[in-house]
Amino acid sequence: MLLTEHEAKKLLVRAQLQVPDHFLITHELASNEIELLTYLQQQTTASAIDNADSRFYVKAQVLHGNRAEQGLVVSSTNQTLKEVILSLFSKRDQHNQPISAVLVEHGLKIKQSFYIALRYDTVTRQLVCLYSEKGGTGMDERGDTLQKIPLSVLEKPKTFTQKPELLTTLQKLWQTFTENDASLIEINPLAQVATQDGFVCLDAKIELEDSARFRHSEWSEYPERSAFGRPPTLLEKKALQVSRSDHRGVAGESFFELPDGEIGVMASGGGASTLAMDALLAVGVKPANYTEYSGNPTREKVHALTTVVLSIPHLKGLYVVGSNANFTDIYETLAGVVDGLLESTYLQPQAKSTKPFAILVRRGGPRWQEAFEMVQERLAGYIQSNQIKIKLCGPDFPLLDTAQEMKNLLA
Amino acid sequence: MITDLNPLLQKDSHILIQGITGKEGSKALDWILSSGLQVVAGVTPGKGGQIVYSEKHAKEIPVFDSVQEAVQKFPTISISTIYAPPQFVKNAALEAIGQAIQTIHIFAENVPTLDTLTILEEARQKNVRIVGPSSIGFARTGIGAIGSMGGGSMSGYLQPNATLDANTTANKKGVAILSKSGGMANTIANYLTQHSIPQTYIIGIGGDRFIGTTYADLLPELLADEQTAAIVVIGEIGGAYEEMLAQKMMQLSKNPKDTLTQKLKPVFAFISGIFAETLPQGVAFGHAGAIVSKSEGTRAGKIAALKQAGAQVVASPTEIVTALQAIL
Repeated sequence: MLLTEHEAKKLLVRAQLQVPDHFLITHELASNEIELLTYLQQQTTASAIDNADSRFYVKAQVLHGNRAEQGLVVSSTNQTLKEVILSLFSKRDQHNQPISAVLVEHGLKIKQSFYIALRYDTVTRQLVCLYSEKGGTGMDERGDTLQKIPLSVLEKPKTFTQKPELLTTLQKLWQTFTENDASLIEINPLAQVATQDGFVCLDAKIELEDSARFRHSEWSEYPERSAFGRPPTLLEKKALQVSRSDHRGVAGESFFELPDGEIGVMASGGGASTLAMDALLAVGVKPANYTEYSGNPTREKVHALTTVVLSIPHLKGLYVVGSNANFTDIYETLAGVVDGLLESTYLQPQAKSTKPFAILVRRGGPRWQEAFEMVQERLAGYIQSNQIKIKLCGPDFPLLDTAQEMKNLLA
Repeated sequence: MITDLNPLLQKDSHILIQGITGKEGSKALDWILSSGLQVVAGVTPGKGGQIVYSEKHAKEIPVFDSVQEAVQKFPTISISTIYAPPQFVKNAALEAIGQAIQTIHIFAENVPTLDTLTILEEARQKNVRIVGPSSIGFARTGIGAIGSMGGGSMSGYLQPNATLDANTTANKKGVAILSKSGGMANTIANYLTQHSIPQTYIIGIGGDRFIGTTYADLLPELLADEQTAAIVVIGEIGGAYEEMLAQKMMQLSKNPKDTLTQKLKPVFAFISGIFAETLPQGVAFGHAGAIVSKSEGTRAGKIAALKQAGAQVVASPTEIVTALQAIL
């Protein structure tokens, strides 16, 4: 879960790291001009500090980087502050989402800018600190100035030979990282200011690891967001509720709605689902969603997920594809798919269209033959009346070829 | 890095199941016993003193409250397979590492990275091998299978007492399958069996972003194994494990004096993730480790690295069959 800068800085402040004096303007506050002006007057006089450079930095709180290049971070004087704030609220972020809040920070007189980040390194399989004496914008081009310092996850760093004065900052970042189950903390720039001791985190990017949610009840306070940098859609929320309804297996933990799709997708198994989507792309069949169930979920859970998938309008078919399961009960899970199908609008008498609803199933694993017999039997009436067209592929059927079969069924 | 590890699995390995009284743990008991291996004990905190009975194998397995108690009673335990939910994996694994059990298999997926790296850091200090998290398990033909590999009924080559002599290949050699995905490991094993291509090892290395045993870590054992003629790698976008394998192959090929260099074998790889790379950066697709990124772990980067190291990268898993038939 990616945090906005303001959310990230709250975590830094909790670890007693320094951030510039600031205040947050929500969209709601900005929409009332009188309230906004009163609030600005209070804030700008109350929090003036010694080393302020008399400018303000107004920053849209969005879930992506490169804000300055996109005009989402603007400097302002006290006189133009209101206009700058309102102009930012009139913009959209790179995910085409409206701006819901802007952070206003007092400018500081900076002596030197550093870059410091903590993240996991997949090659060494360790926590590492990335450090450069040249922070600020353009880090992508200055990647060669970055030093990578391995850290332990078991104990706080005791030295920082690259810049000993930064040891305390590094220790506080390490504490923030481990206590909050972060997967990334990036401070850029970390500024040494002219008239004050210590270092100030001018900008911050923090990502928290979703898999650690079980020990962070406080995360429920963050507004919902998807990895797509936008709020989750209604169906995405429903799918997540299904997956978290009980602990047995996953069903809907990942669910993305995709634009202009023609078929619903229910993939199984992390590896096979990636492959199945590649296969659809190769033959030009457009999925309306992606979702996955695996780890032996219950029939009820798969039923509920099927209902979510089949609530997508204007589908022409359903693609239920997975690898040869090791331990997922194919009978139970496909029974859940059929439960959902039988209740869906696509199988109601009034839904009868000129073309039958196409269903492709490719599964192998425990009880797959029994499962296929059950599917045939329960859908027999619909198959006979040509309301559905179905193809059941067993464990010997190549996974990649299922996409072409789906295309044939749709033709 | 870990050195001087014992082989991944031996016929006389004594196995512990942590979480044996749970749904998946008790199923795994039957499957591991079916594969011909010996499960000697189980651990479930709070259930010490109970007995888990495998009806199929008419075998009683004692349950202990802690790994320490289990090891005191059965000091020969060399492998533990952990069937705990992700939130309990760290403590379960640290208990097993504390008792210096040589190999620890972790089944759960989505273990928080902080927990995984804590486990890996402790394991390095004790020279313990971790397989997983998010690993379906691992199997060796004629020896047995750990974890939930194949649901106890996978490829014929993994049945108890199976030997490569019984198969149709003239030189009595087989291939090792390494896969992040357990389902894909099973699927590929099935394809190969269908085409009478025997397997020597099937290893689900795990789909989480951080795992204990990578493709590259397994390379020395697979190269040294006389019966393994080729290695099949099923990879996907995200992380650097495919690139690390390529790097290890390159290092070996540049060092002709290394005994393993003389044993280099053909490597066939398949990498999925074309669709996933159409999604925004940061999205994890399929597995927790399959993270879409422009800078690291791209499909193109993995394919290029593997090709450069001499691996044959195929466009579909079924092509692996054709490629293998040509060399076996």
